[in-house]
Amino acid sequence: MAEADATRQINSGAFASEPQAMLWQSMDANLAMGAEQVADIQLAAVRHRFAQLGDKLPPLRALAAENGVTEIADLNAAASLLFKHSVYKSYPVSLIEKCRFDRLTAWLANLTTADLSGVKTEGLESVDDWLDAVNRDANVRIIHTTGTSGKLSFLPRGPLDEPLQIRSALLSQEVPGRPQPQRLEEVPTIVVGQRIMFSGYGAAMEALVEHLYGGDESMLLTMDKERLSADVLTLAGRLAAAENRGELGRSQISPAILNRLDQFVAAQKTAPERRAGFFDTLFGTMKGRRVMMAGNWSMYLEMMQAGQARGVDHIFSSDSHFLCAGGTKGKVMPEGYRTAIAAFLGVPTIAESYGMSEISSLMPKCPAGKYHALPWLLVFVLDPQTGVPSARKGTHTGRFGVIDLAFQQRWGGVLSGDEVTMTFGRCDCGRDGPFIEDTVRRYGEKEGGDDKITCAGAPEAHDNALAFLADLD
Amino acid sequence: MDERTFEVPLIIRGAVIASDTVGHGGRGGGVQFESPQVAPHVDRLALGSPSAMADLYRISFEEILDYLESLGQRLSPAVNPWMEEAFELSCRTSGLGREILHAMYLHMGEGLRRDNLREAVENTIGVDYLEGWVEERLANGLRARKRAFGARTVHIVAGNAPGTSVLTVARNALTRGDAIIKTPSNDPLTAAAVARTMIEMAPDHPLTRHLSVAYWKGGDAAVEERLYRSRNIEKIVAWGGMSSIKHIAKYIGPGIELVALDPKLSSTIIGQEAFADNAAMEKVAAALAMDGGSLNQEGCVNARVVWVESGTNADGIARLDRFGQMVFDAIQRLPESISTPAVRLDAALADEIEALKMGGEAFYRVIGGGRAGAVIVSRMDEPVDFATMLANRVLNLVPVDDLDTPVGAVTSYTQTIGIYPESLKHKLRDRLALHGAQRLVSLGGAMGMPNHGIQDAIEPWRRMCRWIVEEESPAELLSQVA
Repeated sequence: MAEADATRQINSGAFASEPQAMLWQSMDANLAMGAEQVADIQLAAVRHRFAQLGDKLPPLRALAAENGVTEIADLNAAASLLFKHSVYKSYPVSLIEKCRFDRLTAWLANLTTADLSGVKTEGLESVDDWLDAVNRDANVRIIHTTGTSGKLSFLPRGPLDEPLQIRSALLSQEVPGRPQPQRLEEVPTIVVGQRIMFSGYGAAMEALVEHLYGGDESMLLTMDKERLSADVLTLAGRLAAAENRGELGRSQISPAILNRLDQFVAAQKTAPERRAGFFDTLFGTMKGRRVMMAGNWSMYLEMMQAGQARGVDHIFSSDSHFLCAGGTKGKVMPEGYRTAIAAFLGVPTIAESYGMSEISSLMPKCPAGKYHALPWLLVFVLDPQTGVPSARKGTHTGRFGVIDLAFQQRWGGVLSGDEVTMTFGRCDCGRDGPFIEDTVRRYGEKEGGDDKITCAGAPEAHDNALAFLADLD
Repeated sequence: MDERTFEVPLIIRGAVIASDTVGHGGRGGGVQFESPQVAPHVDRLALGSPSAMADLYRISFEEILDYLESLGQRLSPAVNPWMEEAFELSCRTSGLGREILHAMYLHMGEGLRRDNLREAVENTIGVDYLEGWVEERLANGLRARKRAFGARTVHIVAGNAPGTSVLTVARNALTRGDAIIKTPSNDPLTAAAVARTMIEMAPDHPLTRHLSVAYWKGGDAAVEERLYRSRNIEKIVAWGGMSSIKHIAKYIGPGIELVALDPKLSSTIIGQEAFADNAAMEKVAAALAMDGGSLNQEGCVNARVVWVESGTNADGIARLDRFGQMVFDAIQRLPESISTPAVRLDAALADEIEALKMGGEAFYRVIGGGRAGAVIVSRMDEPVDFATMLANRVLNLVPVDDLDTPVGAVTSYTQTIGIYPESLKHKLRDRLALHGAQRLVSLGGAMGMPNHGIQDAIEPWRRMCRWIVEEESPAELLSQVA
């Protein structure tokens, strides 16, 4: 039943062995838990998860063996069990070209305890086909990243972890210190994207349709009815790998890639019209209505600019729910954009949060402007050079690591590429526990733009592939 | 992490400018330094009148060799505080350990020995062409007299090998050019240190007066738009740096020639003969370790992807695993004066390698890892997806059944290919050249810098010159034209 996954009886005594149950508390209840209490639960829970998964997931077993971890003495000891984000993209990209989806499935099976033995890969010709097959045959939804490197990370979400999706989506609409939103099932969701996406964003949309709207597709106001093709997203990386093998530009590119490319180019050509049509409908039929939406600043900016071009303003009802996660995506934002966008949308403020595809839940921003770690997120700040975790008191700047204790069928430990400044202590908003400054940035950005010159190197694979695509067009 | 801020002077034809400085670097582990703003000096930096190069033609080739040889004797950091400072700065930016760098700086002047330079010039330009007009008689009776003149040139030097600064000074002097060296943020001092030594040694010498050294951030339009004009310079010699090539591309047009020593990567092809017996395997592994591990794999000449004709069946993979272990061990045995564990571990590469280690051995086997370096043995005839990132003494051994595979993977970004055995080199050389390879060497010989003058499929010494011809037509030829 839909409601059964959205609300549950909570047994706080069992949090240590069922940390995922904490998701079913309200946002305020989660943030009210004291730091010491959370630390006790987390230590027991991380030991429990490691005992459950340590022998079953070969990469976790290998990591533990490499670092000599047999038991977790204290919270920081668990920091040596963080997967590098690269673990989720350690497959050879050529498997896709060769349609060896059997081997890709076998690779994925190392990363989840869900049973993938029933996945039928015969006849699959594309990544999109494969994502569908794994979902259909094993009830495992893969969440892929949308990184620009051209090689996607594949994060498997097993059936036991499926309920986390809807709870996280609803929880993220609860703003700390404000009343819980009511009757969300009556509130349509705006999607500035495609109807089918295997990103974290798309997984959340899918959960809303199924569990909140009881399958009523009309509650999703989607910009694009099509699919965000993982094949298109991987195209650049696949072309680059083909070049490494000496196959690029020598008429050996698979017809499947070229076919996807044609579709992509055709879709790109009509995209501006479709976007315009979407905004016309949205600003027309939804004017004054209560809606909800999760997006990034870039999406909100596009909406505002589309509205300004049409001479419309204060579009939605003031009790609408707008959430922003994911920063500005490298886009330069106009001054005062937060206030301007909120005013355009017609709401007092836009809730903000920090998260990543690898974890179940977004960390909400409090009135003091800090992102708060939720109690099932065991967070770390690590030295970017040595990987040593900072002491769990005071303020530190370093690489962000987290073990999401809510996941039962995949190891929730990941070392991000983000630089954060995190404080273990009490926030100005009054809450006790680790919180993160609003200064998160990628390490790559920080180191970019230097004027070092070396004689060793090759053009970015991605640049090359894009140039190649441009030539084909 | 020390917070030392270095001072980098601007040097314009014998004058040292140290005022009106701005700060640079300090980000992402980069070194911090201050240098004078270049934009206010651009008009002086450019050599206004080409006639001002006439003084270079009043000195002989032998005098130039004298000058360079005595310069070479003054470059040791033991006796030269500017070079000592440049060495200290390089220790903070380089992927090479202190010992390796120290040896490099200590021996840097040896590149200026006269026998060495004379051989290089003879094998490329020819001394006679630098010293005067060399006459040739063509079949139709015309006498052509050719001479190699120097050019007004901006040299954008690489920072990962400090020797390129000294080499650039030598090439400029021998070809009688007027050089403006644009230094990189990872080595803003070596070229400046050499220039200051020249000023101290012979302040008014024409060779001293035709060298300028400046640091500005690559792409700074306030400098580049005014400097990179055909009335100021004739050539730009660019060593590496993908973004620096992109910056200057827009200034290249009629009147300005780009001599591009693009960033490159190098590889290896090993034939089945390597597996003749255990001794052969050990010998080949040691040679490969030299190509891949020397100078910590910081150079474009270092081997990275290694194609091995081991076969891709189970026996072939097992052979390759054994060979991979030998290669890893041989890298660990390299002497500290030429190779050390990683000084600066590339975090993104380390993440990729760790992910392969955690991922089981279905596709790759990782031998070693971390600062020691690693050998990644592919299980199929393909390199790792991150092959272009390989560094920190990490080699990727790729088994093949058929040598067409490595030949197909060669592109114009492939500089050096070490090949074993010699017979295979001869068999493949034409095809490799057609695909873009530029230098084919005996396995173990990649690091050498022989004086044949060819680099990246061009002859930089010759390209640095302007080749001028004077023609004398016999009377009967002129009357035909009339």
